[in-house]
Amino acid sequence: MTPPAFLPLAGLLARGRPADHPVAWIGARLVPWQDFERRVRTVHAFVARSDARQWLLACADPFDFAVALFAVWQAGRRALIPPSQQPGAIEAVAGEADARLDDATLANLPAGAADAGRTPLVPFAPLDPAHCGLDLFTSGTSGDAQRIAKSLAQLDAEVATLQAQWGALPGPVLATAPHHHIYGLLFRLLWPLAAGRPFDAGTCDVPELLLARLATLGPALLVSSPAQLARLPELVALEALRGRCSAIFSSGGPLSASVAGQYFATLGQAPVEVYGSTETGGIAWRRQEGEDLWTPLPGVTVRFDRDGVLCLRSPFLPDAAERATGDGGVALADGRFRLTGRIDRVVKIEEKRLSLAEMESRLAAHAWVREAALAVLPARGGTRQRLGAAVVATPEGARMLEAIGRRGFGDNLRRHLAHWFDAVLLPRRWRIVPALPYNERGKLPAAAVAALFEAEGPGSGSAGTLPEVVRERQDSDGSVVLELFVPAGLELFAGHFPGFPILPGVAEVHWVMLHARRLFPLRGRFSRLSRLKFLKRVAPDTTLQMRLAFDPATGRIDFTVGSDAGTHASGRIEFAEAAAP
Amino acid sequence: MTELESAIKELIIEALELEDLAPDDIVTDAPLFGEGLGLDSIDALELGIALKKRFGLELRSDDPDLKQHFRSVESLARLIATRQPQGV
Repeated sequence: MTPPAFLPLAGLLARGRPADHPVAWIGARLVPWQDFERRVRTVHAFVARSDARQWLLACADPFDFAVALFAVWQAGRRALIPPSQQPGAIEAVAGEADARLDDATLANLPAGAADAGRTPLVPFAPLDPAHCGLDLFTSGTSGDAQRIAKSLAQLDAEVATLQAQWGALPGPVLATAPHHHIYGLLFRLLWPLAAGRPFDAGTCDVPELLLARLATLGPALLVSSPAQLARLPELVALEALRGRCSAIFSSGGPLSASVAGQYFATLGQAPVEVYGSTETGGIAWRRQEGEDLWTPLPGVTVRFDRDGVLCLRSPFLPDAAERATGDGGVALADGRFRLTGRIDRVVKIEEKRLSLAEMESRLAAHAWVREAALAVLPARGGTRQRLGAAVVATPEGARMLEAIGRRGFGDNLRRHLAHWFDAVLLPRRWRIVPALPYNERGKLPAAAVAALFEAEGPGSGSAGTLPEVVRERQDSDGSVVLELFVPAGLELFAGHFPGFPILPGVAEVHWVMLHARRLFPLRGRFSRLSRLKFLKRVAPDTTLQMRLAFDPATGRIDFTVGSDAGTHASGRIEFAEAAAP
Repeated sequence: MTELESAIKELIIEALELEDLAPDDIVTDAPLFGEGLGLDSIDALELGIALKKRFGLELRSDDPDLKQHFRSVESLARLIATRQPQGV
């Protein structure tokens, strides 16, 4: 059987396909070309009747989305794609659109109304690749949502490259990745449509569903992402994928070497990772089968500038000019390269791109927040990265913190942020601090912000040498009161007298230092400990109240450590401005 | 609250590394995702892994109620109780 003709998107509807050519799987039903075309005609008639120029495509259903996109294009209008399906994200870009198409709009259009009684049908005209296109939205480095225009010429260039690179692989396309991002849009909708390869109209976001779909439709091309691929082996036996995937694609972030290795070992091939961004389109690809190097996609030229920043020219860009990315790396003589990480403050959490600056400014706009800083925290036990938010509270915020505690405080701010950000991105850890840890040059080092989250949390210190922070509040005089639980299992108790566990007094001073460094903008080095009194032993399983008062004028810390049993220790710590180091 | 429900609550806190939250803070029949506890899609995957490791819970793709089972601690407990062999 001859493979279906590859049709550029610009000519897809003008050229058309045989009436029974398979376009998409909707559940167990294979939708033929004539149904797809009829559906496009219906929506096209609706769009063409309207004066609206810019159409927001908010279709959650991938098949309807594809129909709506071509209907808008054939009507000579522009498509706007919201950055996610969150109502807030859709509303944020709705102002730029004149009209919208969503699942409800499409469902209410009478099928076949457009062509009733009109035969022969007026054929669709070829699209103009330079003027036809769509706009995507993404968070930029400055913190504002950026509108990124893609002409049909750019999309067609990219789809043709995918076809040249991987078009010979057999099977329909299944996906766990959403269709409204550039990666899913290209890989699971536009490329299959141009190639005449059927795509699955559902999104297999549950691993068990994916396995069931692969069993029915495989061998297939799987369009997935690191978040899904990293967890799949823990939920299902990877062996079940053997022979069911002609290739697995992954994009949105790098796949860890260990995960790629698992797939390589079990399936005989590592996933094909595609590196790129909404602005640039695809840049390079790799298969981690023994090495981690990226190969530029055909037609893409990559170079690293003297700061190690990846710059590229690409047929997927709007023009021939060179663009710099936010990624650092090194080139090899053979043209391949290695990436070394982001160089700006745009990060990815579970493939979702986030401008830290944007979220910080949203936080700071809240009535409880004077200033906020975010840090990406490494996974503790699990595999997932989380965001921590350090917040300097306003007087109103401090009152609320006292009233509802840190969890309630954080939950409220999470709800505030959920209006703009996907749930996966919302900060999970909160630290309410009197000041952010600016350094001497007035900069806020990422490591200093991340360090605020280190010293506490269940499981992080209770089994070792640190007590657990149960509560933390700031008094009206600016001093901070920490409630610390000192468990019997603390290692420090073990070193003293058998059968008579006593906490070494120096441990209390150490904890004071640790929290003082975390909470206050201390300058210089420790110089002196004065007025030190150890009044009472700390027994195991005691809850301590540690009060720390910072005097900005002298830089001194006065502390008391007490409990229901009375005062255990008190003293003063002084710091001296360091001479030149 | 049954023993199983409290075991699930502890598992949720531990597996998802939830901070400032005690088992008693999780309302047994309150939604875990979206509003309520505010868990997200990645949490759902992680929770699936943890439930499998701890209770040997296999989720079936042909189960039309898959999402309903993950609604609350109560629904998860019901699912685990019906799946576990007698006497465990």
